[in-house]
Amino acid sequence: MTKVTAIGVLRFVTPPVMLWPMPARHDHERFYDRVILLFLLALFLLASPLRHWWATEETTWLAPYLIWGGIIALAYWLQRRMERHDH
Amino acid sequence: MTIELWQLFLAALAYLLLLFLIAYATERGWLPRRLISHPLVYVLSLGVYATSWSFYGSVGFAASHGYNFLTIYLGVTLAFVLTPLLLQPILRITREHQLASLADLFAFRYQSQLAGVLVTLFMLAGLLPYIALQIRAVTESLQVLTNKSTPASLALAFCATITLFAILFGARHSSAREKHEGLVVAIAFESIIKLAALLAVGLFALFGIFDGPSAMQHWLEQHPEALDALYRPVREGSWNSLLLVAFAAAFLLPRQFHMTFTENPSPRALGKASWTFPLFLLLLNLAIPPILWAGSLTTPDSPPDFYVLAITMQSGAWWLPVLTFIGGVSAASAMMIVTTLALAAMCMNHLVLPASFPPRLSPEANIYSWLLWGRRLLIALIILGGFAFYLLLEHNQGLAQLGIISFVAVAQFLPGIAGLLYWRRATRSGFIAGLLAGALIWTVMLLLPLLENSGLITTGLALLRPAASKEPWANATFISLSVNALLFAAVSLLTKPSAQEREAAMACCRDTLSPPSTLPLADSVQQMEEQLARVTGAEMARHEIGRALADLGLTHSILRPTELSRLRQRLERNLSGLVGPLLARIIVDDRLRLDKGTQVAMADTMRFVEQRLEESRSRLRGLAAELDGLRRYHRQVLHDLPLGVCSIGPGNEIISWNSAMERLSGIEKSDVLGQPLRRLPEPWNGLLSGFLLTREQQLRKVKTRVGQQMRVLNLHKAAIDDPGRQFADSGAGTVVLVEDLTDLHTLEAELAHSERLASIGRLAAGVAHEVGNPVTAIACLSQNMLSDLGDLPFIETSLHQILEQTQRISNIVHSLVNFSHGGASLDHPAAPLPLSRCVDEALHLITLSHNNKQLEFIRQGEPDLMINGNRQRLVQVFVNLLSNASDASAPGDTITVTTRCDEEQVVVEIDDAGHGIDEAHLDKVFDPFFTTKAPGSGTGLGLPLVFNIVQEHSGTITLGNRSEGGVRVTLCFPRVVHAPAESVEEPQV
Repeated sequence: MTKVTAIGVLRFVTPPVMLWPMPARHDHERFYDRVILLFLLALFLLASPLRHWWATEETTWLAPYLIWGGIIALAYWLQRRMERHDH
Repeated sequence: MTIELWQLFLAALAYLLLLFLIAYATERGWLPRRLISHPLVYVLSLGVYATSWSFYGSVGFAASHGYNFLTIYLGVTLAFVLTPLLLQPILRITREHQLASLADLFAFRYQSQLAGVLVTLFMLAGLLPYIALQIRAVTESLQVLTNKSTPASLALAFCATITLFAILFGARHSSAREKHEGLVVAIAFESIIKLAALLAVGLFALFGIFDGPSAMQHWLEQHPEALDALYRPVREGSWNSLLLVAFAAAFLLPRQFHMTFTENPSPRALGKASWTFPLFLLLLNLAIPPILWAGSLTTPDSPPDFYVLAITMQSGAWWLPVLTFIGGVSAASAMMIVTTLALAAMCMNHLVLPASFPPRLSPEANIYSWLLWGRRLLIALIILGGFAFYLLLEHNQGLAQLGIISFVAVAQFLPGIAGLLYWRRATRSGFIAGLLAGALIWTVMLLLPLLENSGLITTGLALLRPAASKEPWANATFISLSVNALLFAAVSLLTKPSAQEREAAMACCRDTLSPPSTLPLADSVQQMEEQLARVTGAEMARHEIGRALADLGLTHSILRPTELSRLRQRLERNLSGLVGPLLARIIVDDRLRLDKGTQVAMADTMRFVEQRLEESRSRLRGLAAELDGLRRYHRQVLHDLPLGVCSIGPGNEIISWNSAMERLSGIEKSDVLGQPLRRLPEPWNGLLSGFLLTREQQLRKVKTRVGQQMRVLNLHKAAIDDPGRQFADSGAGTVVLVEDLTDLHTLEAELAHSERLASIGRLAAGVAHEVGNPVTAIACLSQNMLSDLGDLPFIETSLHQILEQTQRISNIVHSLVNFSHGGASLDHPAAPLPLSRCVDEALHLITLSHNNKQLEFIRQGEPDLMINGNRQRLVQVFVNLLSNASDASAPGDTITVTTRCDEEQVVVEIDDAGHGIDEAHLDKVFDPFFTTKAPGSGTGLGLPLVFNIVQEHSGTITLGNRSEGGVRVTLCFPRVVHAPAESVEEPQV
């Protein structure tokens, strides 16, 4: 007896226009969105009044370097994801 | 410990010689290719950003402005975080249009020579103090180490060496667009030296002076004012202004632009730089606070700008001060070399060439050599200018002060670059107005005070400037950029961009496509070369045409106008790399003129759009990306369709040619796309052109020979609707579907042959009987002749009778042979023929086989009605139909065949007097394998075959019960009214 699965039914009823391969495009979009988010985060940490919070003598002298390093690490993570996707 | 001047001079000389050696080894290919092309080399070469200001001045800047010194690098980090959205688009534009400098970029976007000139002059004004700063850093470092004043001749020798290096390794080619691998590797090496030297000093400060991190931390706890001095300016100072100018400087400083874009090996390398370059800068600056504290602790009398050198003197080891000095030299020399190269390219393209190219330069001159030596001379002049500035400037400005003045200058290009990338409405007037205003404010607020402080001029403009502050650049940046951006936007909105500006804006902005709309007047490569030679000289024209052809993968023999158009575009881009975008455009527009009257074929426009979409796929977002996905899906559907699909544009050029078409025709898609239909090889040219000319929407079973094989094709066509009204005059073209029926047709022919053989089997008994009668008669006559051998007249009569009987046998056999003759119908094309002849032949065969039933066959109606068809296949139609009628009839019944005609068609009616067909079976009689006969009596293939053959002859067949009993079969065929006599098909015997 032929089994009718939910996926089979879905494939049958889904119009072909929904089936074209789009993940690549969405990955690129997500990449750009993340770049903008990272830029805004960097601005928030570095150029907003938030710097009054970390720029005090109570914090370690390495504070700006740690923030800087964090931004670089995120940029590295983004770049790696993009490269993996391209490959 | 002191070090002698000559020792340092020798060390610097040795270092510069090493630099020469590295560059030379790279150019000669002595270094491994993997090393040279590694993205890290490119990233390190971007370290040219760190000049002597970074190397020495950062500590001084930190001493006076705390952690504000970090903004100079944090701004760069922000710019490189935006690599995919900011730097990659600029890289794409510079690579596509062969733009070698910022002035080229602006001149190209705003289509203005004045814009190029202003950018160049402003860059010169902004950067000469910066070059002077580098010379000063080197001479002062010598002074710190030797405690002696440095003679100006030493500075001049340093400048001369730098000039020599820049000329040898940075100006090897006449075009500024050419890559200089030797230079890049040498600059990358300089970055390593800078980093190593600063880290070494930092480690010495940490471990040599503070006894480790915990000791330094302890010292900081005891001196909280040291940390407060670093953090307070961040909360109170001009942090954000500095971030902004550093953000701009990251890619707009000439040296940064040159290394980031002009010397870029690949977009991937720039992607890697988005995090590696900020990491390099972080490491470079990590040592600054410990050096500052160590310097303030051990050598408080030294100027903070030179703490880096001063604390190394405490080490007691000779190598640390020398390494630090070499680090300083490398920082200064790298900046001077790359900045000078970039400025020389700008000056050449935007100051020298526009003033001297036509007509002073004759076509006979060697332009390449002229350009090369011109650039070399400019390099020397610019370094000399920097040296003069160094001599004139008083040494009372901090290193950072001089650097920031240059940074604020390049920040004035930010509004222009934003317009270039994201605002198509921006105009050249807006750009020039904004830039002039920004430059004026910069001059008044920053440059003139610098010159005044140096005692060079007295302006009396002091009242216009805010009271001298510690950070004059904060106000200057805010005011100049605000006025600049405001004027840029306002004037752009008040003025209209020219057609050329709009075209350039389209090329620069993301996600826009502007296919070429006109074709060149020249109709061959030779002609283009001759036209170009009139302004550039024959040698250069030949070289440039050859290079452009090689870039495009074309040959001299190209004739297609669209390829010539691409060649023209490529020439303009290559010339742009040589003489700048505007001069290139002038040359190309003037010499390789366009034919305004012609339009680019739709196929080429589509190909251009497809190509651009492929290139910009990764940049499409949102709805555009969805639409692109949908487009690709539809294109793939068309491509994979099992039917041949070919669309033809309004100019009769082929627009699409899918994979089924490739298989069917054996012609590759790449060979036909964009080609006019007439260039197609036969039979496709004739077949498709003829089909497009007919009014018929479809052609059925067209027989044509493709290669060695005869093929049967169905052709369908439809006009392509043009909802966008893009092609108002000519429509959007036609799509043709080509259906290959060859296999089906062969199968049908084999089936028909089998059915014929089956019919012969059924006819065999009657035929044998018919043959038997004359054979019996011959036997009787022969016996009679034997008994009357002497009766010659009787023998003669009998022989005549025997001949008659043999003729009768022969006729029967011929009828059978004719009917059973095999072979595909492809071998016998349709021809006009009298339908009655086919009916008679069939009747003859049926009479033979059904003689025992004593059926009466009546032929009535008009004879000699002509139709277009294949005799053998039509005979089979009537044999099958009459055979069915005979089978259904009772002995003695009558079967009537009536032929009649009207103006358009010939009608044949076959009536029998049988039992008729059950109404329930009427719909199924033409289905294969349906039969009402007893098992073994019928195959069920007779009527389906009849149906196919009638359809093949563009006819119709209907079958129904007669009211008086029996079945009537009605056949209609298109009538041929005037058939040429010679074309009438004769029966084959």
